[in-house]
Amino acid sequence: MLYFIGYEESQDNWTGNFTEAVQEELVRRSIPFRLLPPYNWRGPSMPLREYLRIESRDDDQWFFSWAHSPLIELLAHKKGRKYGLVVGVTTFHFDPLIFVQGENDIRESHRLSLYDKIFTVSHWCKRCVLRAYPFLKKKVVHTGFPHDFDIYEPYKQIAKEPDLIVFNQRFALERLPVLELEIARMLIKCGFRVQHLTGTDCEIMKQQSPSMVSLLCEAEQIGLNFIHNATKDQYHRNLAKASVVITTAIADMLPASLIEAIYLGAIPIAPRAFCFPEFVHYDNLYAPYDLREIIALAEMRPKRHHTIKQFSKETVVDTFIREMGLG
Amino acid sequence: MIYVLQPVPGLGEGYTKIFEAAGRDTVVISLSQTTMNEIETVESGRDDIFVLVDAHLPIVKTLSSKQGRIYGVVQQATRFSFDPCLYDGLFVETLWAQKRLSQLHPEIASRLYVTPSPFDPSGLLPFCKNNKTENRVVFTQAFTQENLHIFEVYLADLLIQTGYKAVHLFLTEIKNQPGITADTRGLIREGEKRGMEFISCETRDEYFCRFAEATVMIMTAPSGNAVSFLQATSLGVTTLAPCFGDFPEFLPKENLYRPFNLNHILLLASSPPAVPDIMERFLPENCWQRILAALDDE
Repeated sequence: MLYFIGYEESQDNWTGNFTEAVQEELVRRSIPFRLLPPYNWRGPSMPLREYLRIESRDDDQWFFSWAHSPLIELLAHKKGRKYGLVVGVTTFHFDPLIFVQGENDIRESHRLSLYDKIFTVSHWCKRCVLRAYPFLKKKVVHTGFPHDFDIYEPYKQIAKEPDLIVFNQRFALERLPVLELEIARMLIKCGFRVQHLTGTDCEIMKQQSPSMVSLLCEAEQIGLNFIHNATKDQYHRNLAKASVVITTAIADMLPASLIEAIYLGAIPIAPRAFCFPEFVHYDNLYAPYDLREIIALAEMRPKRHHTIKQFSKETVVDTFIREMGLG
Repeated sequence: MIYVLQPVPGLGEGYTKIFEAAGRDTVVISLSQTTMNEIETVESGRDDIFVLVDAHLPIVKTLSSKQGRIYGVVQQATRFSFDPCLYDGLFVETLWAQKRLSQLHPEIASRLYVTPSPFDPSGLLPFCKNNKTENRVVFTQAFTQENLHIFEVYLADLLIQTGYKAVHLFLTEIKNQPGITADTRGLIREGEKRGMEFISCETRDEYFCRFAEATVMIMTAPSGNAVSFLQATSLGVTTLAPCFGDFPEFLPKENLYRPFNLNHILLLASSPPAVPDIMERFLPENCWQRILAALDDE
């Protein structure tokens, strides 16, 4: 039996429909599994009893979609092999957790050591894990993060707006929002329309991050249009109109937002660093963080093939299954 | 009477020297050593002038209820969090800053005076060092999101990996820095993990002594002011800044990196350009006339 602990699915969650997509693939392959409630690290409603009541066997498998979950400490003693998917590492490169968790120890080293095998979303992520924790060398495997591309199909027919350039990264510190504003300013001056697509209302963003207030006011002033998408459907519709999508991330293990933009036909522009060269064509990468190169790429618009199919749910779940010895 | 309000001791000394040399009665108020109550009790007259050396400080709101005119020195041409029309005049150092502020706040366009901030290097000469600490890179800009502090920490990490020492100097206690947030504290922890030093200097002497040990000062802010370049130059420290914003008006092209190209910064840091010769136009004797003319321009 495979015990599968997925993600909580919500409109503004970057994990998209991960849990549903993995389930579908498991069903399609006739692999017996039991879906357990996700560990909700945002609230107090952790269904501890349900987890603890399970009596697993030696030949069972446990798959934790978020390897950092405190749940691994709770379930480590249970019989069966444990697998965890790493989506970020706090010891490296400004993972948002370092700001959210503050000085609290999330016991990353200990938690990761409890797994029999650790999956990473990108080769870059694997390198970061191994650089921080060399003792995990024999346990770490690159798998990717599964994307359900089928859900984007209805939006692929939406006509592109040639002058529309979009940022769909989080408007957060590790995405260099100050540079995003400068780039937007330069692009608007060149005659482009620039939007930032967000799942969070600007007023709520201002309340959540007071440090962003002045930048959001500045964005309004220069004409960088923040579009609040209340639903995923609305977001995908707006994203599908974009001709170019730019990211200025200074920390990213695998950006779902850029992958979905590429699938919807946008031309990506990303830094030649971190995970980006793993799936964005060399011609669409800029020397980090050269503003002139970014503007030049936005004007040239190189149409190239980007290897995002490696992140299809079919391919990635195949790898999960193989690595868990279920295939 | 001219009241010069300094956010930190020393900043704005050049203005004081000019006013005193011109025979104007001048009172220096150091905001870090003065309580709000003391400022509120200042009794000014109709002909008095307040010069706030950092125009973005909201204390101008308190000053606006007093008699007299208020002038501000713009340290960074960013949006004001309050109504800038509280000022009768604002000093900006560059044409770029004038244009940027005119776009951000069109209502104050006619009150902007472009003039170099007076700077007297003589006080820093005793700190000059011939024996620099090899490969020491210093950051002295405010450690804020607007100045790309996360980019600074990332750059420092790259510099440390290639054999440099990277230090961020503060003239006040880190915890007393304006705008210190959880993000900022997180970044300082991250920087320290990577070997970056964050030093809060207890005195100005300590600050300039440590500053002078460096070979290169790097600016990652998209815009700034001349003070840190002038201090660096006085201390024999060469400077690198982006070829962006107002920096091309301060520095020769040899000291400018492609904005914000990390590799270019590393390349320039590995064979730094000479200390730029930029002091002349900022010497008090070369800019006093324009400043006094602005104050007298009612």
